Amino acid sequence: MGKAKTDLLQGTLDMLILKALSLGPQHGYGVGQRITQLAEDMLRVEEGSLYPALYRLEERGWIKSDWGTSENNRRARFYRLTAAGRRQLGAEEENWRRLVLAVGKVMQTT
Amino acid sequence: MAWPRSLYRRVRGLLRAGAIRDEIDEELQFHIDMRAAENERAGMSAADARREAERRFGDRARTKEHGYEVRGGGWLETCWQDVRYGARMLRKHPGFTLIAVTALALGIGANTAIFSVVYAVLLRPLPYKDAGRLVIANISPPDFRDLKESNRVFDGLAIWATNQYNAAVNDESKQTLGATVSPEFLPLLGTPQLGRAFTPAEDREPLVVISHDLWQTRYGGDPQVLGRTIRLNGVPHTIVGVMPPEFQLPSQETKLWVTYGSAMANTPQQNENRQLRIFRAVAHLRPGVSPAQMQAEMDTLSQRLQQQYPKTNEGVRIEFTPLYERIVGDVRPALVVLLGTVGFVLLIACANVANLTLARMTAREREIAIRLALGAGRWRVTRQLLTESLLLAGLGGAGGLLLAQWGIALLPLLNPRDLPRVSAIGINPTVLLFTLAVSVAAALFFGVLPAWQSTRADINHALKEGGRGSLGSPKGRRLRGALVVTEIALSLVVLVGAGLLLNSFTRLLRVETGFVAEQLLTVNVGYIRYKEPQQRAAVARTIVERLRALPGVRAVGGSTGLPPITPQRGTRFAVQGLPNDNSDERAAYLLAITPDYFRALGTPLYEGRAFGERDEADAPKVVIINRALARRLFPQESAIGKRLQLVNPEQTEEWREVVGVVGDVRYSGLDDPGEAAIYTPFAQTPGLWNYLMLRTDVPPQSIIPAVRQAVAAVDPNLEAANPRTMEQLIAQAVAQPRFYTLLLAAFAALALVLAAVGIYGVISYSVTQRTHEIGIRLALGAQRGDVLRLVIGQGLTLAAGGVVLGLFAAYAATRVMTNLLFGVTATDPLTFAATALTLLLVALAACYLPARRAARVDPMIALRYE
Repeated sequence: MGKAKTDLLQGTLDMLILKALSLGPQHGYGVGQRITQLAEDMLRVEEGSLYPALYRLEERGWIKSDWGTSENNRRARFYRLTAAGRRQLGAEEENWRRLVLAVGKVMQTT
Repeated sequence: MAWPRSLYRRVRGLLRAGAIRDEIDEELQFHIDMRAAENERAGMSAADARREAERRFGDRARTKEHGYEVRGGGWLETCWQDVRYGARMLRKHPGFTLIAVTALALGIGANTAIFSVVYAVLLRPLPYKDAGRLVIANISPPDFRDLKESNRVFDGLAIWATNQYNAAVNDESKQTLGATVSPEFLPLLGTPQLGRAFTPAEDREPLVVISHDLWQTRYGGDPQVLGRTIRLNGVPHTIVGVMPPEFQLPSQETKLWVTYGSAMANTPQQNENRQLRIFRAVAHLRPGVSPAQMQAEMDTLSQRLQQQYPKTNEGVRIEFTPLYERIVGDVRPALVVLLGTVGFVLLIACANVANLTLARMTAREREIAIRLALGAGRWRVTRQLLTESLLLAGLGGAGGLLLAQWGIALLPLLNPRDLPRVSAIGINPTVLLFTLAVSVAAALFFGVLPAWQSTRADINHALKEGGRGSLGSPKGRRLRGALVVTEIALSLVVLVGAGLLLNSFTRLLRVETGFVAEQLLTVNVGYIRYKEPQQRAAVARTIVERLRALPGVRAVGGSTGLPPITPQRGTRFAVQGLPNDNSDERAAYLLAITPDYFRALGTPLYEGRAFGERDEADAPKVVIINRALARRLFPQESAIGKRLQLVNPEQTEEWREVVGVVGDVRYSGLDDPGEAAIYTPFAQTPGLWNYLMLRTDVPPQSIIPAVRQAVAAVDPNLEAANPRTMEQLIAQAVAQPRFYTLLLAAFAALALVLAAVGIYGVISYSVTQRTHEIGIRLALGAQRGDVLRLVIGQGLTLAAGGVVLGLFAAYAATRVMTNLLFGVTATDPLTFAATALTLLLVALAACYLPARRAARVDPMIALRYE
């Protein structure tokens, strides 16, 4: 797979997970897949980071998990965004936009 | 996250630990299966697909632990592990656990019980409206009227006086304490739970508000009680209200509140007497007025009254004190002493447990060293040890709560009479909180030191085979020695306190009362229904004659005062031939007595004569004085023939000749020393009330029915009320000191036992530690006696150190007891010496057992050991 890999900034994974879950509840595997799809295969989420991130977000109360049934009819742990998570996502998106803008301005300097 | 939710989640996590791990496993497995399926779809073989999926997932166990940390028991789980481990350790050493828990339960139980008393009596807010701003003062009715007129500092002001009533409900009459209260009194302080208070317009009508207790006991809680009639001293009064149970003013014995105006109508002269300061004013400070401003205002008023009425108000100051002080001020010192004592007892218990724990830590030193060596954090190990201490303290606290519950149930047996607000004593949430706090504090006290000591231990040293570790070292020994010294010092303080109280209590019992208490019956008869003084004198004489005629009665005397517990008030007088003096030198108790009074009481007549039939109303006016007064007024000569002038409620101002000098009778309490008393013949100054003393040849209780009949035969409206033997009255007079003395003695005994156990434990432990050394000494030719002396010497050195320290501490501490003592000073050398000696003897006995064991050591076995 010769895709360009981009290292995720610290904390960015959390935002991406929240964003992925804002589209609807999903199990852990699905969250990883969804992020990769949304990034048009430019990002790959490592399992070693994904689950700790999910647990971390759950501890903070931004997402919740429950058992559900997967697309292939298996019992799977589904995560969904909580109201607090939705607020957090909004805040992080705002920060992110500002960061991108600022970094962009710096990098455009010739 | 708010911690109750976090706690809930952790409890759930802890309870479902296994299921949670399985669930995480399942979740991760699902992920791998999905990945493998995708790999297969991408063309891999089933085996390769799975291998690749697992490789890509990485460290599954670690991810699982990550999840468990979030979803499982978390910190709660570590605590739970500590608790379970601690409980296992306690179970493994049942002897240690039993002793430690017992010591703690005794200490915590004593503290809980005494705190519940202190809380009920001292700390609980008074159940009256805005009680913090209520103040109270002694005052006379005319002074009160002047105060009311000029008042600018109070927004509520009422007057009352306490009174004994013969309260007759449906022909059954009982002596009942009541108060005549002005119409402002009840609205100022509380609200009736049933009916209403009286209005100012009704002040002169015979109305009464009754207490909850009287309502329950005399009327069976009948809701129809309002409007019914109760006869008070023969006068019918209408019940208009019932006060709630917590309303206990002026005292918890007050069962009736009677209209002031209607009561004063019987004794109009009282209403005009400025010297009759037996009334109380209760007032509520106007908002914004400070107590100091108020008292300044009162001082101005007092000065004005002094100038206006120099004869009656000379030196009189109207002084308001907070109601709270009035109610609990007297008992506070004793309760503070008790609370301090139980605090000391708990400290002693803690020192004991700390010592036991230290000894046990030595045995556990290697275990702890291994845990430290294996990487357990120092804090983690300390936490583990503290958890064990908390467990012990928790068990001790639970046991203490049980003991306290029993103790409180037994409290009425100790008869803490006159302890205000005593009825509310019990285990309530505040007391529970106190017990919890005390238990935790105890755990920290006895747990921190050993935990700190043992985790500081040198691991290498402790791990070495046969190493003694730091706790067996001289340093550890010194620490244990210091604890025992502290323990002994503390228990000496408690013992000295108890010794002082015991000492003063026995003195109180042996006090010269001025009468013979055995074979003496007392009853009260009220004459208020007879308006004319001469009627009262005649009835009193008839009653005395009838009683005198009863079989088994040797002498009968009547008096307006009843020793030893009827507080008397000083009456002013002048002495012919001596300069006027407005100090207390010219004040004495004034009692009107019938001729045989002293013979009935057994009071010695030192000079002159007793009153006789010739001292009639129209005969020359005479008095008898007691020896204390005679010595005060006429130190050089006989008092007989001298003349006194009394300032009495009737305002008669005749000179009265002294015809006799008698012994000093204690009226206002056994501890009231050398009071001056002046006696007048009842026939010349007939009182409203008469206490009759019957000297009997038979058991006094046996003639009570005959006495009742004899009194009722004179006038069916009269009643021989409140029959009590003098021995009962004395028991009542000493009830409160007896209560404190018994409690303190019990705590002192506890402290002594704990201290003895403490010193025994340390010496016994030291003997075990030194078996080897003792064996060598014996092998080298030491005599058994030498070993005995060595061990006992070691114990006595500790004990002596504690005793010396304790003597200093006691010398400083017993000062707070000064008010509780009678006949001994707070630093009574005899008590101090006796206590120190007792403690040393107990220490000697406690050391003897281990010393004997040491002396019996077989050198061969001792040397082979190790």
